[in-house]
Amino acid sequence: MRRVYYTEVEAGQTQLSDEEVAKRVQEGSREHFGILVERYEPRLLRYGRKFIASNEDIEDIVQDIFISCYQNLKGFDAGKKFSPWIYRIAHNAFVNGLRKRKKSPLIFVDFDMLVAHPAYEDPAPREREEAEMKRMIEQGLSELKPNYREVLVLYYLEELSYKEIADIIKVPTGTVGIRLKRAKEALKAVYEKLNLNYGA
Amino acid sequence: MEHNEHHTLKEKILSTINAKGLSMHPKYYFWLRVAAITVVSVAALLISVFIFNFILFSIRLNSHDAFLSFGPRGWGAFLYFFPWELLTLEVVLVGLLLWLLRQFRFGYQSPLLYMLLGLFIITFAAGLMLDRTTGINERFLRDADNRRLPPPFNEFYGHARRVPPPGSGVCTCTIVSINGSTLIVSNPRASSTQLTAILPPNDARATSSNLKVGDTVFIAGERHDETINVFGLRKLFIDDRMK
Repeated sequence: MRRVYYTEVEAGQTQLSDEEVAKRVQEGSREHFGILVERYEPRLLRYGRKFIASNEDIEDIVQDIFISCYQNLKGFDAGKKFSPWIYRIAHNAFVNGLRKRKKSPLIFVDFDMLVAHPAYEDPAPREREEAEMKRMIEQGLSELKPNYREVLVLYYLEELSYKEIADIIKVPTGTVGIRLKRAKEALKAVYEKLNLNYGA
Repeated sequence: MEHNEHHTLKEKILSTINAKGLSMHPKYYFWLRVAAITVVSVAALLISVFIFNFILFSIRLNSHDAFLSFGPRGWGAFLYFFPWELLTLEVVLVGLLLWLLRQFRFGYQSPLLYMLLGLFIITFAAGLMLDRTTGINERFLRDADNRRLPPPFNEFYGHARRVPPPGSGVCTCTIVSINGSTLIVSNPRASSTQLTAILPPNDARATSSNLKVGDTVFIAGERHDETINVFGLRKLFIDDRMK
């Protein structure tokens, strides 16, 4: 019975933006939360699988992310974009997941966070490289360090901007640029090492 | 198959929310969280400033800054007598402050090294100003001597005078007599015993010129029984507020 009701809510509200849906939930419409789950579940599963580079426990972590998202939703400013906000929760959950899996403290402080880097984001390379990078990410990502995997996934698969990624992983915007550059170089090196053809 | 799995996960999430009766945290919960982080940050900042102020005061009170003008052996003595435990506490507090500030956008948008250096410079400068311009340390020291400060300040200022270990060649002494390059001095805080301080010939770091009986001097040297072979000496003009 309840399932039918959610579907009716979704059917009538598909034109609403994420932010408008979140606002409805904040106002007390618990049913609208189903729309957010529907929209973000595949994206968070993909983010988690690529970031953690394993399928174990990802669904459990994603469940926890949505529950945390629901409980903290009144802290979301509906005047801002919803996706960086939920990815921020997801980032924390996946980092904790990685820590548990490695059974050792995973330190996410990198040398690239120490000093300032230029923060200019040029959209042209993303458009030019998108198809190639997506193909490479599908195959060689697990060989990279988690912090490199994460920026590649957020930038090329989730299509977030430098600034949004900076807010998610809490680093300076320039650090996102330099980390992305190094991640691409590392990914290409992995491809060369594995004798894969990235130009194909 | 994937579609069914997709809906299963979604329904699991929604039924968990319903079954456990989970509710959204109220708006004030987030305001309180920000307020708590702000209060703890301000407290950590004030304590950091106070600690730096106290380190500088401790060095000034014990005349350990004089070591720095006594050459390499003086620098070694400066490092030996430096209040490292307070500096360690300071580093921990600045680290905590850095972590707290990184909860805010301005905190994580600034490169880590710049934030760290900025925090050290700000807390050091504020501590220096507090020590050199307000006279608060002299007042607290006097009150601590009379056990009039609340804990933990009484204990803190009670340890501000770092008396050199017995038998060390460092003392703040009063000149009893002068005979060429040999001084007879007494250390009123350590013991009533008089010490003989032998100054090196032709060394500007330790000279008896401009000294007179009754002067207070800070002496650093190597001690053998009741004799100190001095490698550094500075005449002190002790502030009445610190006597």
